[in-house]
Formats: sequence, C-alpha cells, structure tokens
Amino acid sequence: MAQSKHKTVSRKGKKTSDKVSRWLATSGAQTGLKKALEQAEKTKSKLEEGRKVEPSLPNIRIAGFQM
Amino acid sequence: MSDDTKPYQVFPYSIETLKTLLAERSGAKDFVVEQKLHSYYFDSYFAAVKAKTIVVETDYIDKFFTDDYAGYYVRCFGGDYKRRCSRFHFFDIAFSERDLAYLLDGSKSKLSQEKLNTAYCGFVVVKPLPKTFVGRTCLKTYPSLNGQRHYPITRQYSANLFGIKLEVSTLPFQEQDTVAAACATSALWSVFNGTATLFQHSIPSPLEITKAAKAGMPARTRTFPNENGLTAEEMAQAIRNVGMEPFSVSVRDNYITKSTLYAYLNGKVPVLMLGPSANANDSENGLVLSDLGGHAIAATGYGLSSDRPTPYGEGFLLRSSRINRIYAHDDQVGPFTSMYFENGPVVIDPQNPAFNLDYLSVACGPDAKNKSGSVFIPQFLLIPLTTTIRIPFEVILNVVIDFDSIVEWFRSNEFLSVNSRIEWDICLTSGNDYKAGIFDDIVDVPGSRHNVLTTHLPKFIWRATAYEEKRPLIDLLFDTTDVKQGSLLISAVPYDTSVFADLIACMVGFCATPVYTNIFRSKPSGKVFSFLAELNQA
Repeated sequence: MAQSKHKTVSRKGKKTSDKVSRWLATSGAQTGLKKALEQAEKTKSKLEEGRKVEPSLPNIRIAGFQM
Repeated sequence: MSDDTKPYQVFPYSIETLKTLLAERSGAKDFVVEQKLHSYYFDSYFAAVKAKTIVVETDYIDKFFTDDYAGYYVRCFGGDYKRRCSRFHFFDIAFSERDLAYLLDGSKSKLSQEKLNTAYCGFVVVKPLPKTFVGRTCLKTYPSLNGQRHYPITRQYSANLFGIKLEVSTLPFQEQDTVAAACATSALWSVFNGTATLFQHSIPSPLEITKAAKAGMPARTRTFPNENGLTAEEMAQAIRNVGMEPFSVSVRDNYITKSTLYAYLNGKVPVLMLGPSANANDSENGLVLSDLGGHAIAATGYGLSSDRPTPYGEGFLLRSSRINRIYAHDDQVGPFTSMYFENGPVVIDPQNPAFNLDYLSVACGPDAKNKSGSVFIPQFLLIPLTTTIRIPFEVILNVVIDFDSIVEWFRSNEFLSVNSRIEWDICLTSGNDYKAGIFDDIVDVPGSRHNVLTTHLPKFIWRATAYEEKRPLIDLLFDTTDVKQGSLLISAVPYDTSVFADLIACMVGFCATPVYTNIFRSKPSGKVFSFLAELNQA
C-alpha cells in the first residue's frame, strides 16, 4: 500500500517529543490518558445506541414501503 | 387554454395558469390538481426561482413513461391512456410565443439560445394520467442561501427544445403512479439517476426497478399494479440488480442520520431513507401523529448552519452536526423537498404516553414557514455503493473519535498550539476529486503539494479533516477498500506544518506508553497513532 511520508519534524518537534515523553512518564499523565480513553468509549457507546431503531414505533406495513 | 394542434405554446407564469395546464395536459380533474402537495410545492418553488414563462411542448415522448406504458397501460381496456406526454419548460425571463417563433424561424428575436439557457429553470414531464401525472422532473436547485444549501448529487442534464440546447444542474424526480411504481420505486429511480454516472450503470425505468426488486422474492401478492410497495429487502435487491451493493444503517438519533448522510452525500452518493411518515398535529402532550404509513425518500442534499457544531458524547465535534435540514426527493411533495431536523414528545397511540422522538418536519417550499403538517421518521438508511467501497463510515468515525480523544488530551495539556477543540469533517470522496482540489489550489498544503498529488490513492477514500474553527490543520485519508482490521490510514496531509510537527512529536511519545501498547496497538485507531509516529523517522 502506498504511504505518503511528509518529513516535517523539526528541531522544535524534537524538543516537543522529549517534553512529551517526560510528561507521559508521570502518573498524572497516565491517569489523564485513561480518562481520555473512557470518554472516547462513552461517545462510541452513545453512537451505538443512536443506531438502534426506536422501539416505541409500531410495525408499519402499509403504503409505499413495508418495514 | 392548451391547444394540441400547436407544437408549443408560451404562457406567462402564474400558479393558476400552471395548475390549469397540468389538468388539461394530464386529463386530471381540477380538484385533483388542487389537492396535490405537488401544487403547493410548485407554487413556492417557482416563486423562489422567480419563474416568469412556461413553454409547453405539447407532444413529448418520455423514455421512462414509454417503458411503463408498454408494460402496463397499453393493455388497459377502458382507460384509453395516451402514449405521449407533454413537457413544460420554465424560464425566469418574460417572453411571448411570437418571440420564440421568431427565434425558431431565424428572424430577428429578442431571444437567443444563450439567453434562454441562462434563464432556464428546468422542465416537468406531464404524463397523461388522471391522478399521478408528475413525470420526469428536472428543476434547478434552490439558490445557495449564502453557501448554506448543499446539493452534491446534481449533474448537468440536457433538454433539447426544437434544436435549442438547454441545460440544468439537477437530479431527476418523478412521483409514483401506484401501478408501475410505489414511493420506494420512485426513490430508487432518483437514486439510480445519481449513481449511474458515479458507478457506471444503466438507469432502469420504474417498471424495470419494480420487476427487478420482486424477482426471486417470494411474495404474497402480485407485482403489478404495485400498490403494496417494496420491502427493504426488495429495495436492496433492486440495488444489486444494477451492480451495486446495498449498505444498510439503522438510525434513531438525528446525530447518526446527519453524520451518515453528510459522509455519503459529499461523496456524491444519494441515500435512501426509509421509515414511517405521518400527519402531525400539535397538542398539549406533544405532536399527535396519525395516518402512519411506510415511506421511502431519496436524500440529495443538506443545509448547514453557521453555528458551532453540537458537542456529542464527551465533547466530540463533528461538522455534520451543524446540518439543520436535508433536501430530499419525496415523491409525495417534490424534488429537493426541505425537511427539518426536530426532536420532541410525540403521541402515536392515545392510550399510551408521549415519548421523545427524533424526526423530520416536511416543508413544501424552501423555508421552514412552508411546513406541510407531515413528518417523516427515518429508521433505516439504505446506501447504494460500488463493491469496492467496503469500509463503512461508522468504522472511520470510531477511529477518529479515538484519535480525537488523545489529540484533545495533548491539546488541553498545551502540547499542541491549537486554541479550541478540533472540529472534524468526515466524508467520502474520490481520490481524483481530492487531488483536483489540491491541484486547483482550493486548499493549500504547504510543502506537500507534489508529494500529495503523486501519492497513489484508491478510487474512493474517506477523508477526515481536522479544523481549528475554520482553519484546516490536517487531512487523514483512509482506504475504503481494505479490511476493518487493516491499517486503513493511507496518508496524513498537513495544512499547518507547525501543528503537524507537534502532533507527530506527541504521537512518538504516546506510542511508547503502555496505554498504546495494551489498548491501541492492534486496533484500527492504533494504526493512525503509529503511522504518524513513524513520520518522525521519514
């Protein structure tokens, strides 16, 4: 598969990378990451609920389209 | 008013003139024309596009009606239905029959082909049927309303009026005749007109669609007259018959409906919407619904407000949440019918309490003030796709939600110089359209233009664009042909190289954490993180 590689990491990027690595090693960062993941899971669960057909609607079998 | 001995007649436009002509050319009773929602629709539509003149082409052969005629009407004993139709052309300039005659006989005329083409609003084929006479209708879309109205499915349709070449950008519409077609067939027919060019297939007539839908399906009753409509399975079969794959999505939440429609419509794929429609009356307990019946419409466009997107779940921002209405070919109303997203308590059975429901209010014109008093409740979306579009929107959406949650965490901890939460714009597009946008400088990709244009892409891709307010930051391009557990991400294209560099640095750090290793490494979203991290060594 073709992959597009854009060489964009600068010296500033390297400094950011080191800073990120140091920060991620802290327990506060790990907790924050887990919380972020939980939030993503909640959003996806809500979407899953929204994909279910409304149970209160009657089963329609008339006119142009039958369900 | 109309005269069969003339090849054409020209009338100043008024809704009363139009209704009289519709009755005369179809053979319908005046009260039938008066009561049709289509008449209300035409009234508001032609007022909105400022129609001034109607040209009636008195003798017109319509390919699709000819098929229906040969398959059914020709063997009617008593009806004595005509084989030929009329075609009404609409223009937003005033001119007389004499002006048109001068143009046709080569005399000096105030009209020209160019002038007529500029003023052309489109045409309506009028079938010689006593009730269901609105045949193939190609009308231009409503004006753009400061960029809020979007019609991605339209294409140029030609009409030849006695040698005068006219063009209109639209998607064809026609109402069901309840014989060859029910609403499901009419919706399929409009959708096939949209997908025929995109996916290279022929356009069957309504009669052929109904036959194909019923072929091989055990049915309790006869195929024609098609009064009972089609089941969802039969509609899916009709889609397969023209060489596409039907993809079905259940919906209850307006958010799902909006995001899914936005994703596929922007890829120029019209979407079938299936569900009950009903008459609606306000009451103190909520909206009281009556006369519920199954209905199918073809979604062909959407209206986008300029408001901020509505946060979903834990704050996720999707551009499609700004959709406040859709445009749909509803065979009971007209082409590009406005339908407004609403939510509130509804009562279906007076014996039971009201319950909260997401639904669409149907309008007979361009604005909410034209609401018809009927509602449509989407329950299923049926999306006709080419066989190689295999990865559905929801897979890409879930990947982007994972990615967004981590990016937002970095942003809120000030590792990314982005002032507000990222707004995501996710839609299907073709590789060629994407590159054409970059080549034509519609979007600027600093330092990456050559690289992006020469990157090999599949025919169709999922594109997820991250925005800071209105400023694009990055495009993630996903493969539509892969397997769900595959890499999916093909390319990441930066619009802002500084933010992109910081993002890569964050991903390098993140991919070294136990959270990535234990949770994400084998997931599709994990491939996005590692793809970006690997750009650090590129």
